[in-house]
Amino acid sequence: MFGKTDDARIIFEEEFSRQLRRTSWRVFTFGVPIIMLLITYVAPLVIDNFTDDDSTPKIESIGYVDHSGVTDSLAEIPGLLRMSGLDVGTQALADDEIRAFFVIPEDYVETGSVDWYRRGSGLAAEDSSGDAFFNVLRMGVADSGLSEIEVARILQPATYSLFKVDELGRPDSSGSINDEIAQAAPAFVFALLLLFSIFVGSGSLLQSVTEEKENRMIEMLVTSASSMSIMLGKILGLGAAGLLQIAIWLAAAAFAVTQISSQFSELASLTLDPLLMVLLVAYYFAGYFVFAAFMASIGAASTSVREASQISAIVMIPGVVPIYLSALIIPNPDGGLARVLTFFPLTSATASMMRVAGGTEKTYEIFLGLLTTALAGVFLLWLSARVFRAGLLLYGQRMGVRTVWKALRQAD
Amino acid sequence: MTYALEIEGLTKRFGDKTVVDDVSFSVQQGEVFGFLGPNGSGKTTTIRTSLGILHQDAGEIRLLDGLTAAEAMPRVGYLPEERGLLRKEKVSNVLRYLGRLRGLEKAEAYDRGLELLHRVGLYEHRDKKVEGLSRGMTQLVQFVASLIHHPELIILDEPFSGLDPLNVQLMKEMLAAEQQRGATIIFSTHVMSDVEEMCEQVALIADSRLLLFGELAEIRRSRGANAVVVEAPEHPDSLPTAQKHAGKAGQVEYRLSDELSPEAILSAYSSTGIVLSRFEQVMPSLNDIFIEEVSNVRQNR
Repeated sequence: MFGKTDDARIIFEEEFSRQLRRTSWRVFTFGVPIIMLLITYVAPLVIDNFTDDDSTPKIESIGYVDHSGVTDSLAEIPGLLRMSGLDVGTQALADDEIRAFFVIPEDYVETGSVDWYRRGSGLAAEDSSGDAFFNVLRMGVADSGLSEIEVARILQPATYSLFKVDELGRPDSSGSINDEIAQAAPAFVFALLLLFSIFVGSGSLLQSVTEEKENRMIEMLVTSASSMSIMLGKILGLGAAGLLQIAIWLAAAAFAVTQISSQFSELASLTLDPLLMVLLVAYYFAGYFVFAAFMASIGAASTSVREASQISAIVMIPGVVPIYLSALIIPNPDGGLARVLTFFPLTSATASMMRVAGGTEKTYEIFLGLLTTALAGVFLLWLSARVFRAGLLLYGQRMGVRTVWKALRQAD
Repeated sequence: MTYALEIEGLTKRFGDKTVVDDVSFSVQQGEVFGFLGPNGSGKTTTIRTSLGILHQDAGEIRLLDGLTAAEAMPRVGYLPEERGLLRKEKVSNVLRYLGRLRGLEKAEAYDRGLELLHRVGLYEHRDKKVEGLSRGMTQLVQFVASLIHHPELIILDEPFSGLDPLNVQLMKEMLAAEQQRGATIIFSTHVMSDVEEMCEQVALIADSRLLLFGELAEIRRSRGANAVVVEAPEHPDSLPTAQKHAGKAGQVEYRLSDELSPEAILSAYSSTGIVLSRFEQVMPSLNDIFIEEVSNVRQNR
């Protein structure tokens, strides 16, 4: 069934090295890490240049005028400048001495209205001055008689600790909301990465098959090796090139994350679950086989690269569906929708990643989904070899459903 | 007797259309075999089916003394009618790839590819991408790819089409060398002069059916003479119009027919007292046989 392994090995080696010699592969593979390194190293330097230059005035202060007296009892807060009037405030804004200026009117307590003066354009919602001044007002509204701790509670009423309760009513601590986000984020990012890599790899296969058909090279190939060897060699060769691409990106991403997390303490809780890493690699192979087999069949049955690309979108869409439905899958990782998508080969890879992100309790279903996808991949490989065999000599002709069906029934 | 190719009762249909209809012929090992037929007669389909690229609907095919196509392919060289190579690849890399698939080691395939490129005058183009070559050059590269692994059977589908005379001559010399080495060569064409120059055996296919198969000289002999060439100082007026034979003054050719036999021609000359310096019966050319056979089939359609 699988033809001569020597032929498959030769095709694997040639396809792999040909893919690595392609300018597009090199630009894409090394371009992404270079951009990551630029973001890691150059961006902070650029930011520093704009913020730490002593010749440029620091614009960190917020000015205000309080006609209501609500802030009278507040202690001095660094960066908060009480000003004498509107003119002084707007002039300070014009001179870049402050970045925002607020006027609290006399009837503030009754109306809640405050005037906010700022320079430049951009959305006010993006400007943190408003949030910062909210806290000033909260502290002001809170009676000065309250203790510091009580004021702190008004400002941040609670830090939640989460507990999940299983079917038997047993609670299990799953940490804080931040911990959950930190756990879910890598799975979500990996799902995107996985899908992206699968699409790039299987897209290369689509291009390779269609090009060889367009080049009329395919007749030379099929007299040299069985269609199964050709398919296997091509799929593995281009898949290995895709895997190498992911490995380079992951190494660059890991390096960038360690660099960035040392600068941002909020990212310190990011964790990489070993199960997730195993699933990522396993699902890459299984998912790639499924999509690649479809792509090879589409390439063999199409008349040109352009036509094949258009048809391939139909196959790719189901792969993206779980990402679109992540808002439904992650909060309910063991719900009916999530479970169904786990066992459908075109959605299994991304759906499983979403379920892991949502903290599924049915891990065995993830592995069953993986097994289903792997088996579907092997079956589709066999199937695609037949379509490939039948379609390769139809130069300039499209394969109809009848021709495809006949090809599937015909012995190799 | 050992056969490089044996085809018995081969039938191939595409949908309702029969493209090859009960075709049988064989090719002995070591000979050069011409596979003739007009465009669309079924030559390429017969070749593709013989090599296992297409599946036959009926019939038996054996290569290299009884092997199936899959078993024999590592020992077969093939130049398809549909020309094409990996356009973005270097010429030397394409030859290495195809050589490896034909069973050569990586280095051996590369060296052999360069050797053949040298032989056809394309060594300087070894590092060029295929898309940078002319059509004729690409055809030559594909031709040498079919020889790269020293095949025992070489099957070429319309090998000379689109090539300039110098390259056609070069290809013929290389094929002669391959035959000297012991390889069997089968090529399809509709250029009769190439077949007359190179082949011992031929098969003629038209409208999906085999019309002729056998030794070229024997086929021509079996047809009998179809013309008489006469060389004389003058020619009798009583004979029907004779064609002036190109090249030599006083030489004419008479087409034989039911009304005009060699005896009648000889008698016309002797009765007028003209002395003949040459009287020769001419066998039909392959071109004549081809036109006659194919025309008959088309008239009887």
